[in-house]
Amino acid sequence: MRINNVRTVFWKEVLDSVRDSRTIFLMIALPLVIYPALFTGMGYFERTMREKQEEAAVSVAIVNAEDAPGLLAFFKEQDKLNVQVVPKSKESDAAAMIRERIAKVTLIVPGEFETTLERGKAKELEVLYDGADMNSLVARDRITSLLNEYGNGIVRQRLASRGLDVSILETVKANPKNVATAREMGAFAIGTIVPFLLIILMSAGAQHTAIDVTVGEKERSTLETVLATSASRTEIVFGKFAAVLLFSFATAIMGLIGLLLTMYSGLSFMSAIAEEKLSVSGGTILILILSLVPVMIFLSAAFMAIGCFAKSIKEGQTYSSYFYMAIMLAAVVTIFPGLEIGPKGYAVPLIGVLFLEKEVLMGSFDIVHIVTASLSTLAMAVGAIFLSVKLFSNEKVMFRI
Amino acid sequence: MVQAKSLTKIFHDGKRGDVVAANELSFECRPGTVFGLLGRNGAGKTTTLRMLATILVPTSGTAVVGGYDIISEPAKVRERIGFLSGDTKLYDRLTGKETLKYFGKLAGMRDRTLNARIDELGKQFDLADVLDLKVGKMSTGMKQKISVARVIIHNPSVLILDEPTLGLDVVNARATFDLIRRWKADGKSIIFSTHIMTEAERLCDDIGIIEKGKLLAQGSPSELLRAYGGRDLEDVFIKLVNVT
Repeated sequence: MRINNVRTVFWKEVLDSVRDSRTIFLMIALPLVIYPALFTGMGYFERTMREKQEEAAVSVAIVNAEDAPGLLAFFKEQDKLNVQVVPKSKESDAAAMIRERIAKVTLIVPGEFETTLERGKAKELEVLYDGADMNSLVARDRITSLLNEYGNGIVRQRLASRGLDVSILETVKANPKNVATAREMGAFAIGTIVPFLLIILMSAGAQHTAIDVTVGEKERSTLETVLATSASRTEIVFGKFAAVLLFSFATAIMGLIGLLLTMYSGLSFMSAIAEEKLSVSGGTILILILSLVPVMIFLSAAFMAIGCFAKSIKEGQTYSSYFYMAIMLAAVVTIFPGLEIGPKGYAVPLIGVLFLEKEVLMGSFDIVHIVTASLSTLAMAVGAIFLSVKLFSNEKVMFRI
Repeated sequence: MVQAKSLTKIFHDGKRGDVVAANELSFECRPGTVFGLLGRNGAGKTTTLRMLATILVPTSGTAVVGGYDIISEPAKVRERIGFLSGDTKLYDRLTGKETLKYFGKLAGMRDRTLNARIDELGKQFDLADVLDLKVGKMSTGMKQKISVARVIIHNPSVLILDEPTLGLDVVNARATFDLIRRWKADGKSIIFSTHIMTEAERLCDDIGIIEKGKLLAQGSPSELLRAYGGRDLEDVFIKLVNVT
């Protein structure tokens, strides 16, 4: 293989792709602007919604409040709580009141509620809410909390009436203390979500470029001329592959920069890092990038093979989309907290590397895991490159004859 | 020099079964001559030229192009040929100069030689207005100039031209013919395919009439007229095709 030909094809593909506005958008604008905007927007909306919910008054309807005068008085003393009294005769309308947004929560007080409590017994109270309405869920939590507070008040009264001290209820007090350092917490947070996001970005960068330089060239009728040059099929494939790899890497780096900007902007839900509740070291970032190199190679090679096989750009994008979904499904598995894979799991391409990343970011360096995960993914990558060369050299595939 | 020896190409089609696109084709093109492959659409011209350019591998038979066998030494063949097809395109986002540099480098030319050659071709083909222009913004005539310069950038001894005037207007087609004559005078072996009889008559020293993958007749235009009668090559062609 002549490296000059590989280099010539590589630089031509890079130049051609960089001048494509879609490539620039996918490679720079999307990861650098849209993802941070997405996270920042999510953080902003999450914070705004939370503040709104905290400030808004909760409306609660109490059916048959006559049987719970104490409870009614307790509720009326609370801030930001609108209490509506509903007669017992209207009990059948209780659910409708919630659906029609007259109240967020409806309490149905059973008969003899308070008198039963005074006799030292317990009485169940129905709390109706709308599980499909976030505001109703928040209201439910608040009302439930108030009911617990009311119930605790009754317990204190009962104990006092028996001459007992309330403090006998206190037994074991748990005092959790986190021994993980800020750096370790940072690594945990980063290790959970960032590899997944980077794989998505790398796939986007690789997919677009791979399709463009393979089946795109077929569709644009520029392929024959290249095949008639003195460059071999293998040299052409490697030159194109190198370009795809570069764009995959560039997209990942842009995405990482975008994520770091988001973290330190103080605007997103990831701003805990900027607030120094978590810490991310340069070494962590470097480990993250290095451990994803085998994945990058595999993704680039796989999308190249898909592009070589496809008959048209549309077909190539369809096949790529299915492959992309499979990658995402594999990557999303690693997000679940507490999920661990045995030693053999590290031999599973892609998944092994993702779990390895988490492990390494937490400071655990198992050489067997490192070698197994890297080699398995690299082996898949080599297979995909080999397949690309085979497909590129196959007349039936390249010319669909 | 190009020598085709019983070149055969069979494609397998799922519905139609085996399709013989080229059937035992044997012909020769000496240096300083133009050999024309004349046939209808689907006759097998493009398949034949692709085999000679080593883009397709023959099912059987072989050819010697520029002194090298297309099956055993395809890379050496490609170093010595310039391939131009009327329906292949250039890269829209590259400039004329970048296009020439790309193909020049793939032909193994070093930077200094390549730059000098681009300057030379720039003067020869009057490329001043296209070298720094992106291909996507060029007119058809400008693209043709770059295509032609690209084919000849490494000064190949064999030129394989598959319907090179496809889509060109009269002026640009005429300019292409003039170039072919010049290359012929330079001693190059030129294989040229067309379905336009008048083109073949004007340019070709020898003609092979191809139909359904078979060479029906070979010879110079005058030899073919003498052998088959008729006023022009079109009459010869119709006669031969109707007979089969």
